[in-house]
Formats: sequence, C-alpha cells, structure tokens
Amino acid sequence: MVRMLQVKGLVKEYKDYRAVNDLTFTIKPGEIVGLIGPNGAGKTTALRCMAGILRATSGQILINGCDLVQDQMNAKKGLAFVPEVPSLYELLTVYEHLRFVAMCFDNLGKFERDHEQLLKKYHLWDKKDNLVATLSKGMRQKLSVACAMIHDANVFLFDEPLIGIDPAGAHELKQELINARNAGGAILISTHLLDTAEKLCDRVLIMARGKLLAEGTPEELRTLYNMEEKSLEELFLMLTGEVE
Amino acid sequence: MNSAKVLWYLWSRQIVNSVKRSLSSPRRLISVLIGIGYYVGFFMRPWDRSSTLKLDRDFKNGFHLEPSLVEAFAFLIFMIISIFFALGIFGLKNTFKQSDVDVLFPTPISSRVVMYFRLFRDYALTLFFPILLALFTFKPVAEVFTAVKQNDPESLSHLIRGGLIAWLLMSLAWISISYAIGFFVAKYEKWNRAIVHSVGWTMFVVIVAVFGFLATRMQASPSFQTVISVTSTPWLKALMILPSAATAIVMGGFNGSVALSVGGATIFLLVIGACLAYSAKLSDYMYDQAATKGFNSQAIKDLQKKGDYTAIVAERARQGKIGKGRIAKRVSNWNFRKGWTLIYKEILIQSRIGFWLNFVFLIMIAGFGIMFLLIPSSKKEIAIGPYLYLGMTGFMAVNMSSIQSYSGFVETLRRVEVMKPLPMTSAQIAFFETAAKAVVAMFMSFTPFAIGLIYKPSLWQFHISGMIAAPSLSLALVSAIFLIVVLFPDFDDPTQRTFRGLMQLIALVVIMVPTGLVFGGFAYLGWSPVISACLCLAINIGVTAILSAVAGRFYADFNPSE
Repeated sequence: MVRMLQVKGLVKEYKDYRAVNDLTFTIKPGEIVGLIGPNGAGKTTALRCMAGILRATSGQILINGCDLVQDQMNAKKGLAFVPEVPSLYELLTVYEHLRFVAMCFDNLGKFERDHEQLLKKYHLWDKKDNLVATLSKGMRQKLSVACAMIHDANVFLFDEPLIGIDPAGAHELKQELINARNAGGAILISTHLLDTAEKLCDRVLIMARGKLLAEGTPEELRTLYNMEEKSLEELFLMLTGEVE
Repeated sequence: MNSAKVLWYLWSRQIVNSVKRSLSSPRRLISVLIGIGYYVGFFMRPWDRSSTLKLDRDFKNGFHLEPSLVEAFAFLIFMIISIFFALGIFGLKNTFKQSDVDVLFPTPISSRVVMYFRLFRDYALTLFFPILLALFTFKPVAEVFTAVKQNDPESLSHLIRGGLIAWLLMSLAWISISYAIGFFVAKYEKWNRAIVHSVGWTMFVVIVAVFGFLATRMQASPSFQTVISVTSTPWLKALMILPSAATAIVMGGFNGSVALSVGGATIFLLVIGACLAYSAKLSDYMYDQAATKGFNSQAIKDLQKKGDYTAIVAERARQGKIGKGRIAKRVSNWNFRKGWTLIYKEILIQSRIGFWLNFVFLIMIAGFGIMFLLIPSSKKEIAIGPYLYLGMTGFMAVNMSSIQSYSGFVETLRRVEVMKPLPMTSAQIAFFETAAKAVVAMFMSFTPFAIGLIYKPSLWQFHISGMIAAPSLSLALVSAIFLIVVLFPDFDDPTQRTFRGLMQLIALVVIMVPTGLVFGGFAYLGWSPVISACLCLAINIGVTAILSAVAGRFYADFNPSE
C-alpha cells in the first residue's frame, strides 16, 4: 500500500533545544490523523518541517514517496498546508491570491475553469475583488483553506484548523476534511480539541516535549494503557503528565 | 508555469494594488500629494531658475576634472556606499514576510528560484539609489554638472559610464555578500550570535580605524592634497577592496586604461560568483531562517506601524533581547511609598528599557545643539547662535521626551485594570503617572543643557535658562499628552491614532509658543535669558496644573471596555 506521508526519525533543533525529537509515523491514504499535545510539544514545528518550511536537523520526510529534501518539488506538489493563523498576502485581492497559489502549483488552467465554483463554495465570490487586508479573520481562514484545496493535493497538513472559526465554519471545514479523506487523502491535523480529535480522527499521535508518546486509534490506546472506561482527554492527561 | 513568472506576478500585483490603495481614500491621496509637493517644492523648485550652488564665473570656465582628485573622491564615495551596504548585511531575514512563510514556502516553487528572484529584486531596488540621489541633488549639483559638461564633456561621459558600471557591480556584490553571509549564519545556527557579533565588531573596528585615520590626517592638514594622499594609502586600499575595485573601473574609463577597468570588474565578478554559488548551495536554509527568525522582526514591524513603542519593548523582552539590566537592578532596591511607587515604577522601566538609547539620544541632541554655539556673531547684534542653540536643543529634547511619555501613557491606559484597584484615588494615580512620565521627560530636557554648560561655561546664562525652561516645557507637554491620550484612548483605531498625532503636534506648538515669544521678546529688549526662563517656568507650571486637573477627571471616568 502507498504510504502518503512518512516521517522517519524527524529531529528539529534550535540552538540548544530540541523542539522535535525522533518523530516517526506514517499516514495512509483515506486517513485522518490527529496530532495532539500540550503547548510547546513541538506540533507546529513538526508540521512546518513536513510542509518544507523548516529544514529538519535530521530524519526523513516522504510525501507520496518523494523525499522532501532530495525531491522537494515533487514532494510539495501533492501537499497542502493550512497554518494556525493564516498570514496571507494582504495586498493581493482574493482572486489574485488564489490565482497566485494555482500558478505555484502549475494548475492555472483548472483554476481559470473552476474558480467561480471554488469561490462560491467558500463564500468568497462576493469578495473576490477585495484586498485580503480587508477580510475578517473567519474569511481569511476560508481563503487559506481554499488555497489548500486549489490543487490536487492528497496530503493535507492542518495546524489547529478549528480555532477561531464560528460553529458553521467549523462544521463546513470538518465536512471538507471528511470529503478529502473519502477522496483518498492523507490528513494530519494538529489540535488541542480532544473531543473533536476523538470524533474526527481515525488515529491520534500524542506528543509532548518533542517526543511521540503514543500512537493508535483512541480504542487501541485505551486498551494499551488499561483505560477502557476513560476518555481520550483523561488518557492524554495521564500520558503527558507522565512526561512532566 | 515558469516559477520566476509566478513570483513576478506576486510582486507586481502587490505593487499595483499598493499604489491603487494609496490613491483610494482622500486621506491617503492627500499624503501622497503632500509627499510629491514636498519633493517638488523643496528639491526641484521649478519656479526658481537659480542653482543653490553659486559658482564663480572664472571657476566655472576653468573647471576641469583633475584625475587624482576624481580618484580620491570616487574612492571616498564608494567607501561610504560600501559601509552603508555593510551595515545592512544581516538584513536578509527581514525581507520575508510571514505570508511568504505560510503561503509561498510550502509550494513547489524551488527555494533556489525564490532566492534568485529575491536577490535580483533586492538588487533592482538598490539601483534606484542613484536615481533618488540624482533627483534629490539635482538642483545643487546642476551648476557643477553644467560647468564640467561645458569644459570637459568627454571626461564627464567616461566618468558617468565608469561610475554606473562600478555601481552596478558593487551593488550586486554587496547584495550577494549579504545573502551568502545570511545563509552561512543560518547554517551554523548554534553559533549565529557569535558570528553576528564577530562580524559586527570587525566592521565597527574597521569603520572606526578608517574614519579615525581620515579625521586625524585631515585635522593635521586640511586640504585636497591630504584627501588624495589618504585615499591612496596602500593598507586602506587593500582593506577596502570593493571600493578600490570600483575606483579602478571608474579610473580605467577616465584614463582610457582598459586593463585597470577589467581588473576592477574581475574582482567584483569573482566576489559575486563565489557568493552566488555559495548562496545557491545553501538556499534551503533561507526558508528555515525566515521562518524561525523572520517572525520576531515581523511582530516588531507590526507594532512599529502602530507606533506602540512600549509594546515593542515588551515584545523584545519576550524574545529575550532585554535583560534585567544592571542599573535597573540598583533602582529596584530603592524604597518608595504610596503614589511615589508609580514614579519608582517608571524609573525602573525606563532604566531597563531605554537607558542607553536615551543616553545616545541625549548626546546626539547635545552635540547637535552645540553646533549652533559655533556660529560667529557680532557683539552689536543679538547673539543668534546661542538663541538658536537654546531653541533647537530645547525643541529636540522636549519633543523626544514627549514621544516617550506618549507611549508611556498609552501603557497607563492599557494597564488601567491594574492601576485603578491600587489604594489611591483616580486623581492621585493621574497626578503621579503624569509626574512619573515628567521626571524622565524633565531629565531628558535638562541634561543636554548641562552638557552644554560643561562644554562652554562662558555662555552660562543660556545653559541655565535652558535648564529651567526646557524641563518646565516638558512638564506642561507631558500633562497635555496625557489629556490627549485619555480623550482619544482607542489605540487600535487608526482614525483616533491619526487624530492623536495631530493633536500632539498642535499641543507641542501651542505649549511652545508662549515660551518662544517670551524668549524672543526679552532677547529683543536685551534682557537676560534667565529672566525669560523664570517667567516661562511660572507659565508652564500654571498650564501643567490646569491640564493635569482636567486629565485626572477624564482618567477617573475612563472605562477600558467602552
């Protein structure tokens, strides 16, 4: 079976501290995996390494079998990254922003054909000629997600995607994630919302202080740690408390 | 699609939208028109046909470009330009925005293409420098240019051609060096502070040594001959290899020596080639550097846009760039009670965040003011120099202290939920907060005159009057600023921010006018400036009392949630 996202022994060091320490996991097609951990666990750093923003100190990241360092271009072609707080190009219009991202992924023809549908789907059609600087926080989040969906990505990295959006927006985004999974995508979501992770994700990765503490479905983890009656939250607190 | 085309699209659209936006609202349009008007009115003066630089007719007719002098000045100009480039050598990480990190970096656009695009974009921007220089110095140098063109057209054309080629190569060389050093620092992240410090200190030593050498030689014998001899010193030429290479290109064209020009150009091409090859090899580190370091500077840039200096300091402290401070440590042991603790807090904060910066500004203000004392004046007339000294030093010191206190008052309102529950009345808090800001502001406006007194004790009357009048002005201005801040307290609202800035300017003028009139009138009557200062002290204390009382009432009613 093709493993869409493979992370092997990922280490990221900043000067004298190790933000990510020997992280190894795999995400298969049609799977949503939750990356959960307390503040400072190294989730965002790990995601940024996987998105090709930060250079890993050591280890290997394979996206659709392409090494992110050796074959960066091909690896990134199948990748979509949505940051926690979307920082977009303020001086581009909504349409120009999407067009720019489409061009980056060499997908301009499809974008020119389908942009109206895409903009309408994310409620951005009326604002297509507005500068990004004029958008509200929620609209920026929608634009950021639209940018991620513009090309034919099959590996999606979402950093805290449900923070700061209204319930309707959150519902739509969850549906979007499920659709992407059903279409065979591999999705990694970093989140603090444990109940959402439990409901939405097929598996979870629990991280603390840069290390991967546990990996599996919530049921598997409960069985493994003899906590069948407990919630994921209690399991999480037990595991991360062990480290501290 | 070609990656460079994509990046060009991004860059060009942002520029076009930025221009459109700057013309989209009347406020922005007025700012643009004022900017253009200022340039045309101040630098171009189309209605004024005369040049600012009047050349004697004989000088004009006999003016020729002397090769040794051209060489000396070319070297000096390229050396100064090089120093400017060198000072910005670590600025690479600041050229990326957070949006680049979040949007551009995860795309399949090669980091090498992004690097080359950025490099040539930065390079293209540096090429605007000679155009700007030409625009701003057009009027003063037009006369010299015409004279040279008239007498020595061929030499001038060689000089311009050589100068342009040298500039194009020098600019590209420095940009390439800056990129290569940036990547080197990013690659050896663990030692980056040590590398930055070593390079910084080396540059400092070189600059001090070079200018010290120039100043010493010029002081001993101030002449063009000294400039020529100093700039041809072998160790200086070797140390300043890039300015020497640029000078060689210029002089090669000027003297008709192809070998000299080719030699100079070869040095540049070697430097550029080596730096570009090294940068391309390490271009992956560019993303890493921008992502890890760029955010810090971005946060500070955003706050700078808002003019929130206290928040900038807080942000720098969060980034670990501000320590506990030795002076602040001593201050922290002082004992105060009741309302005086607010003054203690202000001194403690100022000693921690702004001591050295304030110190440098004070020295600069004092130095600038003292220059006016060097203006010669006839005994029969009013001594214009000392009055200019008094006016300019006072204005700068008072203005600077007012900027600082403004930022402090914004912080006062931001911390209202901490301050109001203290066991003091609102009026007391308002009074002590004003006094606390005024202590620092008064010190800032007093000290430059104290330095002036040490420098030239014979003009004691002016220094003493400055020591009396300037702190009282600061006091009045600080209370006016508190009133403005408490009247328009929404710090994030751009309209209020603009309005506050305008009101601050008006307050500065209104408060300074009586003092200026008193000093001017008494100087006309031939009275001592100390008498003027004492009268100003009385006026300013009265103004302070009224403004503080009004500001205190508004502060008492201030509700941060409204």
